[in-house]
Amino acid sequence: MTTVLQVVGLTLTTFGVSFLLIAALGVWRLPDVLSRLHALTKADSAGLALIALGAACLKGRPDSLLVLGLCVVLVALSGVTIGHLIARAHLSEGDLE
Amino acid sequence: MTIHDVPPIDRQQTPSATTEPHQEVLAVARSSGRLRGAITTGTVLVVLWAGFHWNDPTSWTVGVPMALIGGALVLFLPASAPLQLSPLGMLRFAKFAIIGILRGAVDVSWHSLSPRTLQPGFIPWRTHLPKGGPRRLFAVAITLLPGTLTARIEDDMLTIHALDLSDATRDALAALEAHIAKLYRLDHKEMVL
Repeated sequence: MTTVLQVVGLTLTTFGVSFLLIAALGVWRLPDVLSRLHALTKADSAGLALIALGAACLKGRPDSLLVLGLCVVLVALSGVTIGHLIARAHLSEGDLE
Repeated sequence: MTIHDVPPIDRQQTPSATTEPHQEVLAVARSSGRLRGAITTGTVLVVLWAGFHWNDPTSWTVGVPMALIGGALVLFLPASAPLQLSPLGMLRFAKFAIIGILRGAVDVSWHSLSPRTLQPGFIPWRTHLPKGGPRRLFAVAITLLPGTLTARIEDDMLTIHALDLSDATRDALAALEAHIAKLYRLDHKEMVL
């Protein structure tokens, strides 16, 4: 059982790290500020969620899932809020066209 | 339409010396809505703190003041109408959101690897969801779901940045709005039309 959890945990963590790396690549490659924000808000949230789930599997204790879950929710909400604020500030500079 | 959807201009044009009884009732309702929001937020913050620091009782010396400050800050936000959440709607929305977040991450990863497939632009979207929780959740969920980002909110008008301007994106936005309406048990009459 422990081995299965470790394999699942490592797999989820690997996928999560991959999402974060691709998000970083997106910030570099995507053409404008708003498109880059998509990479930051979406791939970041999913990447962190998978890493947290993987970490909970590796830890093997249910209580760690609660704390890691709360971290994921708070990071996702703050990412979305900051993403919106940056987008709004960008539009207020007159770049809507 | 709820009492919180009264246009601000009406309140400004009414002289305070001739305040009518129904306006006092509205003011009390608004302030009680804020109080309810403050208590709910303070309780949620206490639960969150307990989740993070359940094994460290001394941490409450910081946690309690932070929960009180967080709850007090809500008093400065606009009050929202009391709405009922549907338990079944919550489960359906959670499933919809988890699948949407993962699809969003895969979608933006694909675009990051091949930026030439992008057709970005803006979609103006007039939401029929009422002010407060439903509209805020809609704005947050738009940013987490595939290819869309809430760039500006002006009353019921949202400016959404989309990586793909096809009809599929508009259909996804309509589906999201319908999910949130079901979550808050909003029927056709309660939607802002």
